Amino acid sequence: MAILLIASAAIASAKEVLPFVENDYAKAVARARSKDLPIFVDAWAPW
Amino acid sequence: MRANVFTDEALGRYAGQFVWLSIDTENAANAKFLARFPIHVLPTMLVVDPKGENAVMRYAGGATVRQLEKLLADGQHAFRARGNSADSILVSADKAAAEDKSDEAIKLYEKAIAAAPKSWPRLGRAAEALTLALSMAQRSEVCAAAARDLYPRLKGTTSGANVASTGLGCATDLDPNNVKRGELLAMLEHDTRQAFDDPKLRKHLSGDDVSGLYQSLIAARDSAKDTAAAHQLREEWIAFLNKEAAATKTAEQRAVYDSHRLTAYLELGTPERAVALLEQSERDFPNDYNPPARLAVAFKAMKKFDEALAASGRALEKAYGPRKIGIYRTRADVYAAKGDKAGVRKTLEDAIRYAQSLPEPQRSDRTIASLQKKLDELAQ
Repeated sequence: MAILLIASAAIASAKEVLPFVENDYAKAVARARSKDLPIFVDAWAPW
Repeated sequence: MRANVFTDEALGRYAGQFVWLSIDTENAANAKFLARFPIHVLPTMLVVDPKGENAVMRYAGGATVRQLEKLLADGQHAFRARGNSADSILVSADKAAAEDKSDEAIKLYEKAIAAAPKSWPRLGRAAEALTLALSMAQRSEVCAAAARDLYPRLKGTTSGANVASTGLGCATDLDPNNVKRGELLAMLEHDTRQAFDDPKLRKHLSGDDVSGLYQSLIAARDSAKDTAAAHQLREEWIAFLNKEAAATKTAEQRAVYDSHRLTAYLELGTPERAVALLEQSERDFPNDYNPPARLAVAFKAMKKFDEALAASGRALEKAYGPRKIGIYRTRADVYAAKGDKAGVRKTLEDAIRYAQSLPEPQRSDRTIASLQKKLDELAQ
């Protein structure tokens, strides 16, 4: 059980290396404008 | 990439430098995004400036971690440069110039030129706009120095010719006590002459541009008190203008040279040679106030005062706008030369009344004050 938790935490932190906004362009624009940052877009397809 | 690149710890240092957006192109929620940024290759990576919502970097295809790091650095650079590129500054400069914000336009043209990449295709236009704006703002020393610095980068181009010529005009206008005057004059006269004598370049210059080169070169010889060379250039200048005017196909094209030809004949001390061409234009354009207004100037110089008054009377009937005040001024000068004080007074009073009647953006308090001053001096 303890091992499993550590493993999932490791996965979670790996996923969080870059905090992606999922499929919400308007939200990304608002956040980028407020922080004066550029938006990096990864456009992909699930297939 | 989602599985193995974006999860790489090495990218952690970029986390706070972008807002990260993942777009599943199959998801209907992204229709608006895809309308703005059509994606034809998957994956595609973009860096978007949120302000204008435009892509400053686009890369189609997958990438390794190392390639992605390079893309991120490029994207960041493009984003930072978005308001600083020479092109975008030039757009702002042109906008300021169009709005008559001369000081702001000058600063922005300087900034655009400073930010220009090595072979920037807009350098010539920016340099011409800068020197002209400086010349019109009567910042002669800055104008001449800018032209001297920019000409070597524009040598052999029409812009180079115009920059040198405008700069030479500015150098001529410098205070005779200015310590830099001599050097600036010499360099810019040399540059203007070089452009003027370049036969390949000459073919690309408009008649107006060449006339401008003549005027700068003449002014430079005048300021050097080289009367013989100045006179020789003036004769060449009027011969050039007459040849250009004769080669035009329409009366409109020919009349473009009227003001240049009048100026040349006045400077040569032969205003009578301008009369026939101006009379021709008055016949060709019976509703245009310019030909009779110019005739008034020519007749005044010829001391044919009654003809000058008749011509300025015809011009006043047709004239409108702030330019009409100039016609009144010439008319007042003609009366003064005739010794007709009453005529001067009436003309100045008419001019003041007219200047005051102009709508707000055209009305100039300075013009009204200077006319009033002339009128007051008359009473003394």
